[in-house]
Amino acid sequence: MKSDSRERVMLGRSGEDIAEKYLKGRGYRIIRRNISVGHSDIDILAEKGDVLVFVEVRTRSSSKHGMPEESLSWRKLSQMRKTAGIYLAINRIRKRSRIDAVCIIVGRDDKVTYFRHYTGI
Amino acid sequence: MLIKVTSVSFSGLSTIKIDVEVNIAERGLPTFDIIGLPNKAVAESKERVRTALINTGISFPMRKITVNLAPGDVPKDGAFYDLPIAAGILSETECFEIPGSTLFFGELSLDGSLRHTKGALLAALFAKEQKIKKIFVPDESANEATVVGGIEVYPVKTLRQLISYFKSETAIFPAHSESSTEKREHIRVEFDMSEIMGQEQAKRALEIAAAGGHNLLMTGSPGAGKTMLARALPGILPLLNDEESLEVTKIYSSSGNIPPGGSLIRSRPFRSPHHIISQAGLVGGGSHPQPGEISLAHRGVLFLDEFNEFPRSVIEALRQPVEDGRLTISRSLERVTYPSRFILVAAANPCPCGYLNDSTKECTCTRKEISRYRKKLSGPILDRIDLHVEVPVVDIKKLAESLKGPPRPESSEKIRERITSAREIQKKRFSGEEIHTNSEMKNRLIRKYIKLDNESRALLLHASKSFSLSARSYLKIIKISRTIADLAESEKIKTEHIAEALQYRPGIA
Amino acid sequence: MMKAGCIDIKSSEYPPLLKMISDPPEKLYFRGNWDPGIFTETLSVVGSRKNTGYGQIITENLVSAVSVSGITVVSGFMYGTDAAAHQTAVDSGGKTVAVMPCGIMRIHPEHQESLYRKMLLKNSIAISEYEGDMQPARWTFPRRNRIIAALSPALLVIEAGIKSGALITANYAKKYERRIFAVPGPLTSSVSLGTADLIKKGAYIVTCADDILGFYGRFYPFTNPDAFSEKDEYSKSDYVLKILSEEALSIDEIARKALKPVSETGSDITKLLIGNKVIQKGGLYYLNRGGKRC
Repeated sequence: MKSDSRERVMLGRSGEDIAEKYLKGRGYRIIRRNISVGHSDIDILAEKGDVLVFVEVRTRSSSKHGMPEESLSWRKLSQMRKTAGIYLAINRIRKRSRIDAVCIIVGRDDKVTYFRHYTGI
Repeated sequence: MLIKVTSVSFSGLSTIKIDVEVNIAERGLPTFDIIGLPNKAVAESKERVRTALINTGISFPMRKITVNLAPGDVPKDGAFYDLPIAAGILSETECFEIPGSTLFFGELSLDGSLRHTKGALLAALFAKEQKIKKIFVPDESANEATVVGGIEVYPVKTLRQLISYFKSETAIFPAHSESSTEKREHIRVEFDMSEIMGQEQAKRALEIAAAGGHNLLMTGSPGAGKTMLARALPGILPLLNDEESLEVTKIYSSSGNIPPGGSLIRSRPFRSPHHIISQAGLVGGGSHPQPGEISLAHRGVLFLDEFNEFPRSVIEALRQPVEDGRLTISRSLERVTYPSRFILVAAANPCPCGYLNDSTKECTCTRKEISRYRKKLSGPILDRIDLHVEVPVVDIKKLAESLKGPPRPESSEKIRERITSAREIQKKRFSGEEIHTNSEMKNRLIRKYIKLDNESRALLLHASKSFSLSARSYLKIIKISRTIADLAESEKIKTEHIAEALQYRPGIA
Repeated sequence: MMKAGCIDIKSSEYPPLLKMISDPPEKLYFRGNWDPGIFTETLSVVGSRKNTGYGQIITENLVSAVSVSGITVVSGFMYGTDAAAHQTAVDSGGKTVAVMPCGIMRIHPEHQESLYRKMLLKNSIAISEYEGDMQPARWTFPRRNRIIAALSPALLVIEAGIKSGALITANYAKKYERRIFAVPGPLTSSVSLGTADLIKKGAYIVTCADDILGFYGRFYPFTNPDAFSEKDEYSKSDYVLKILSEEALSIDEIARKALKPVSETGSDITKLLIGNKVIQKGGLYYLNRGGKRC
């Protein structure tokens, strides 16, 4: 069980690494990773132009148990919106912002078999 | 990418066109939503379609899919939107085009096959009305849909088959209907009148009931054969014509009473609900209206055994549809009308223990119990019952003795011939009216169409005094006399016709 | 409007026959117009509460003949035969006495109130040995029966089961040395066993109204009232009368015997029914002998 959860954290990390690399390549400036706000996390905070982007990264090792998108429930989405709002309020940021999701499947040998970037969800 | 597929929606027996709009967006989180007033059965379509596609071996698109059932203000019910929704999604993912002038209708099973779906006949009728050329329905419902004629009915077994058809890999051949004349010969009489020994008067009462469309009350001890007699009634009614067959089949189709592979209903319905039936079950109803037993008995026979055991409220609800020949159910969002023109055959014991006037067993009821029982049996619905007849227990030994070298009782077919010609006479008589049978005559029409000569009038007046007939019974006797005269192919109502009709007056015994 | 009163045993108007028994009621309460003449010539009629169609017809036949001859009909106002006897007497324009098992102000059984009112309106009376609105009890019925038996010189038993109230009345009648008439019936019917027993023990068998009327020194003066008399109407349906003269039958059986379709037989029999030539009771048709040779 313990090793399982460590593996999951590792998988999450590597997914976030892949997402960061992708975003950088797309002209995003990465501000911070893994910001914890209250009980929840913001995986990646980035900026493009004058828009602040909160990025949620969903990583899976296979599609056996469904696609990574399927774990983005309506409840998770509203939680993300709330977290982003709290972050903006605490830091008194007045900027345009949006929430993105990056869904990745990392197969064996760290090969990316599936990648999708949803903007403004 | 927006795809439009045509389907249909039912409200009772009426249909309207539904555009199933399937939009598969390039952007946005993958979701799958159905909008346009779907009810639970329609909303669950999502899961059936998704799973059926996956089990067919097609990866369900990870895109934002929105299905709109337009027009949006009509409530949608039923599982048959599965096929149009699946077809819409498949046309996008499997890259084929859905041809114009097509209609899709059918429920999916999770394994990707299509299930027998209720309402296929109505969908096909709608397609014909809208001049849609091709209709895709589940294989097991195809026979039902071919009844309509003039449209191509494509029986679909599985989604896989549908995909390869549209990709021009395999062919689906339109189903053919058996011609109606062929079918007609298959009709078999379930209970033949010639098999019923004795009961001459009860059989005669059935004949009159069938000829004039009169409702009938039979009273008699348990085991006298009331049920058997009632079951013989559909067999002596004239055969259903094409139009009537279609009416009946429509009701059965809409309520899911046609078995898989079933086709046009050619024989007269016979329904005999038990007395524990609810009001909605008998006359129809429910939050999403369904036809009741009275509509399933349309153009046939509704048999209510142990008539007095039915709750008063249920029997009361029967009154209006018996009068009107149809029933309207109103709900906040819809208003549904089902036809319900049937012959009511009610059966009851003569007393609580059942053996009053029985020659074989003694009655154990007190006078008080009997009069209370009678009171319960009477009521407004009895006003709608023209013929009353007693069904005695047949003493087999006595019967055998009296029938030495018997002329065998007439067959149902023979009796039916007489009834059919009596119906023809009535049809001619009422050609300018909205009714078809003598039983439907109201006071105005009785005055218009029935002229009694002095002799007959004298007999009737005399009889109404000595039998103390009510005004209503008086009119019933006139109607029955007319039917008896029609059976005898007599233009005039003679005294003997009236005298015979008086045999079926209410309240003897 | 309903008069009520009381006759003391010492009164000259007290029914003389009742006075002769060992335990006559001290006071006789009554309702209706008291006329001592009503007791001059009386016949007591008893039968079964559960009278059969046969019993009903016989009651109507015999009682109508007796009533028309001016004899008062005494009975117990119970449902069944009693009610049929009272009803027929009233309908025939005769007088009748109802001996109640309860207080004089009570009508028992209640559902026969309309018959009760009709009787009182037509100069008939109800009597009882109990005053007020006392409830009937198990023991009041047999006590009442002794009055029924005592009031008339003769008792007619239409139908009676073994151990029935009618037999109790018959026993009293025997004790008081009254003439007992019993109607024969089919031995398959439980309410004919009591009458059969009476006949075995010496009761007079009744086969027509004249058997009873002869006891009163009269005979039946009327023929069957025949309202609908078109002779040719009947000649066509004579076969029905012929068949019914043997036994009562249902319409199916008549048609079978006559070898005619039931439609025709039904038509013929209705005309006979309207013409009062036949009677219908309990699913069977009987020949109407109108009290003569029944």
